[in-house]
Amino acid sequence: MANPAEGRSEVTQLLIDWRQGDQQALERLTPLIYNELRRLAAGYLARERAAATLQPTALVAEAYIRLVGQELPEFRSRSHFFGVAAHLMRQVLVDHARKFRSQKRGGGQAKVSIDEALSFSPDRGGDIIALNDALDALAKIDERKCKVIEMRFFGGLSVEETAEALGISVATVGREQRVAEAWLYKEMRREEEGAQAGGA
Amino acid sequence: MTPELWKKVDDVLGRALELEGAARQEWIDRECGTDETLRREVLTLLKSDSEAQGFVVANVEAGLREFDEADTRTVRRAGPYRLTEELGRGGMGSVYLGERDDGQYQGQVAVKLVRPGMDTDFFLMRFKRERQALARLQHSHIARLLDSGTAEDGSPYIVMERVQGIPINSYVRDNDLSVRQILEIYLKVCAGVSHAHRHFIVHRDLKPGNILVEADGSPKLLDFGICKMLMGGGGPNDTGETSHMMTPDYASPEQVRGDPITISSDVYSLGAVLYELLSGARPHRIEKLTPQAVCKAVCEDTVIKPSDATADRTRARQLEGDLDTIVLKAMQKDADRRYISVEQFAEDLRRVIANEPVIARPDTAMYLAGKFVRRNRKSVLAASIAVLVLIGLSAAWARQAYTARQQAAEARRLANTMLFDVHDEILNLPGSLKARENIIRSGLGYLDRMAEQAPNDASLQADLAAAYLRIGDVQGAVSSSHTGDVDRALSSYRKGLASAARAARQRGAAITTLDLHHRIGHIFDTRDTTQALLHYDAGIEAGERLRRANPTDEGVGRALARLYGAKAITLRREEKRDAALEAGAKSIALLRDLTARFPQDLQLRSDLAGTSSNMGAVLRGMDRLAEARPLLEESARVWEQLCRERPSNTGFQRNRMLTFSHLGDLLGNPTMENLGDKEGARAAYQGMIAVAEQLYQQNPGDQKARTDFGIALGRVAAIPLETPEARLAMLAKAQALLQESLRRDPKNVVLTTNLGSQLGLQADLLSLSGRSAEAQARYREAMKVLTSQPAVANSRLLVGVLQRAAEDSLRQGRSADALASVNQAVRLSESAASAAGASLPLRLLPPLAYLNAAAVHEKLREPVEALRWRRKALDAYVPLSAEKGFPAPLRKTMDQLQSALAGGGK
Repeated sequence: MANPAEGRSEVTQLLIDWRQGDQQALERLTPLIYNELRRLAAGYLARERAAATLQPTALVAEAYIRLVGQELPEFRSRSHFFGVAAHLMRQVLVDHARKFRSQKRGGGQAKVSIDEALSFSPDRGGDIIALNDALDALAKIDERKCKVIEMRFFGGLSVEETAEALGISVATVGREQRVAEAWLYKEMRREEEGAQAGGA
Repeated sequence: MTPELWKKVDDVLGRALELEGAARQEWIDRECGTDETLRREVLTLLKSDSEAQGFVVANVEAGLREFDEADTRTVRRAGPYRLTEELGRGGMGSVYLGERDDGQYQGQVAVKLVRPGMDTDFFLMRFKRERQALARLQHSHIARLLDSGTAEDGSPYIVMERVQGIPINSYVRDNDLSVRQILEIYLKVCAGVSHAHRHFIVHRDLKPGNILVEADGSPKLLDFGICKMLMGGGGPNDTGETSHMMTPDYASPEQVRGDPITISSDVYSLGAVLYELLSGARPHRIEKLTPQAVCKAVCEDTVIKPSDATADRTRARQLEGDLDTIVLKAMQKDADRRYISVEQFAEDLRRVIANEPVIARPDTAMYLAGKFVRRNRKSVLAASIAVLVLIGLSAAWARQAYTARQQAAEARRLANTMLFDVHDEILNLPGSLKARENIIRSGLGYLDRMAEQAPNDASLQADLAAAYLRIGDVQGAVSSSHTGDVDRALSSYRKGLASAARAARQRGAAITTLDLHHRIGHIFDTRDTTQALLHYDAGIEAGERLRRANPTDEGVGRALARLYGAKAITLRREEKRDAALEAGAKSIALLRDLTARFPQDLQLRSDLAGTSSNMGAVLRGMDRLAEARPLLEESARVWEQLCRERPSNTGFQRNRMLTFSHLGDLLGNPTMENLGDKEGARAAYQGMIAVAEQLYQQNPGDQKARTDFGIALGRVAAIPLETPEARLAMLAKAQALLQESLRRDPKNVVLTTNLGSQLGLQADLLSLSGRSAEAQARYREAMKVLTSQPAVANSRLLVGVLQRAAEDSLRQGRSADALASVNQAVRLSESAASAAGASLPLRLLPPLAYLNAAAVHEKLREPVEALRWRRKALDAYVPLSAEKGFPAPLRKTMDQLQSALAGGGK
């Protein structure tokens, strides 16, 4: 190809490279996805405030449409591509949360204001890092369920697309998702209660 | 957890989640057997499942929120530009208002700064290339690239001409432009886009937010090619309409699908924007921002003509014909059928202004038909919603392309997908009624065909029975007040019974049968009691047969307990109290056994507490007070446990309070038959007050909580254990609460009844303390409240209040007042009883009033009058005593009266 950048978006190219084992590709991909997601997150939250209904999962899918909308990637299928992307999205979200929190708390500023402490209370809607840890634990005993959750919630894939990407039936996806959600819920509750008991 | 155990848990749980109630429990029992570890894991996860709804989304959302919160950057300048104000923020960077320090360029500019982290070599190379391309664009309708460079921290920036304008759609709307004015402005937009195309630059993101109109009416295109570079992070003057960033209203089908982009995509977007400018409406109806919904709207749904989309009739006439055709040609889904260039598109717009024939031609019927076929094939293959899947399956079925085995597999898949995933998913979406109806209709059609075609496949029929049960539940739940839906639900349940009968040997089908009978009975409960009882009995008979074969089967136990409980309630309403008690006792026995085996099951325990309380009430009504006591005590105990375990469940709290109130009434409510245990009653009432007060204080504005608390205080005040002063104080507090509730809800009968009763009690206490004047005033107040709402209870209370007012007058020696009150009671009771359709309790009022009159005349030493009233009372009672529901305590009183009168009018 005389001019590869003309034919195919950098995101698509990087995803393909990454999938073929180029770890540097991931490093270059991350800021692209990071920023697209951040931009969309701002829009999402603005909409949320305007009381419109919009699923965050749809937002994630939207990010990908915008990133690679120009070309159909050379993957087995679009679903497969989204599946890979979902995993990346999870990584981006978690990395960011880690970095963001260490920035917020670090720098010798051990003091956390009450408002800040409150803003991290579980009531406020959840914790991406805790979810990530629970997903890691789930992957150890049942990798496919972890993938289903990733695709459905981080990739915004429909049940059908998830089924296609994983080569399983739609009914199985539904079942796997439900079992995985119950498991994750239990796991995160356990962590939460453990933390509370330890802190008390 | 070991992988082996997890695999087992997963298997059992996966299937359990597809089952419900009895069937689920039966499955777990069978699979877990004596493996308690397995059972515990499964049950814990099932509990999690019931609470886990939406929590993953919440956690992902929290992650997104942290993105929004993170802004660590505070840049003051970029190269020679001083940044004064942030205009907008996008994904790849932010846009600032900038001023050049060295005076080389006068005026304000928009500076786009690339976010840190973006400055990879790869990106910088790309950035540079794009920038060179943009530098070539010099056009009066394109915002100019002025400068670019690298900021101190190494991140690249670009400087654009600052455009001060408003988005073209707002401009058109605000200035109420005519069609001609719109077209003239739009031709300038087209000229700008055309210029870029000649330089091989495609915009890719044309939308009103990127086309600003300046004060002089001149349009300027922003972000040319920038979206590729900066991912459209808001134009320098983006007005913050984030909806444009999110809504792919103007994106071409190839963009949405992810196909390669050409200048034709810009033609499409120009068409979509013009569509909105002319009609005032967006071209697509995009319901959800999921890839499927977007793809369907943009790539599949037919765009309606702009003239049909506009609300303005004059405008519609102007758009009909050429403009409709032009816009739709630009917006063809097939890129090859669009204008081949922006120039050609603009040419047609010019022809419209000049009234010349246009190039565009409407679609032919042939073309549309071909398109339709292609579209439908695609939607079956790529169906993203169950309806389409179902329609597709039905079509496949019609062609008999499926083997019997495939059908059975499909039925299961269908049942799972449709009834669990799809339906539950849309259950909470606003306005999903239509979709639900669709799912139900498609699903039913499919099920019906399957049921007809494979009548002998027992396992298929068992699945069908379960599916019909679920569908019936859904239909019934769509709108329980809508009788049409109830009829449809009934029909589904009956089909379920037919399928279950063909699968009689399947265990799952057997339990489904019990549930189907329960549901059908429930539907008939309020319409045709005989039918309801027939179905309850049919279910009970089948259930008992199953239980004999397997006495400890939990699924059967649950289903039977439900059937007996429902039967008891129906019988109670029919006043068949003995039979009701019998059924209730069976239900309670089953529930006691099940709760002992599954002590963590909240549903079972609350069923037990509820049924016990109900049966206690039945026994009370039959005057079997001593037997009622243990049931009510058991109920109170279970509710207390449930409240301790689930302190935030206000439903449990309220039930506990109501049971306390029944128990207190039974033990010692002086206005009813009671066990004479005043201390026990006080303890129960105080339990009632404790809960009521807690609920009230948690939510003082809540009408129900306030009313409950007021009623509870009144109950304690009714027991003659405290001093009259203490009781009066409680009543004063209670009345303040009830008056407040009544002020907000003046038509509420419960409120008038309780308030009237409390006022009467207050008057009684005042009368006993010798404060007759105050007592009489309270009696009058009570009468006023009680007459404000016509109700059986109120009429009865009124007669009582008048009687006590008469007694007070007698004590004060005011016989005329006493007689006046008595006569008023007589008149009032007679008029209440003579009303058309008056119920038995109302028709019992006159004899009661006659007896009261007799008592007053007795006290006034007028025995002849007294005797006359007694006879009158008896004459009125006798015909009523044959009626169903004649109260047992009254019968006793009446028998005594009869024998007294027979004994010579003693």
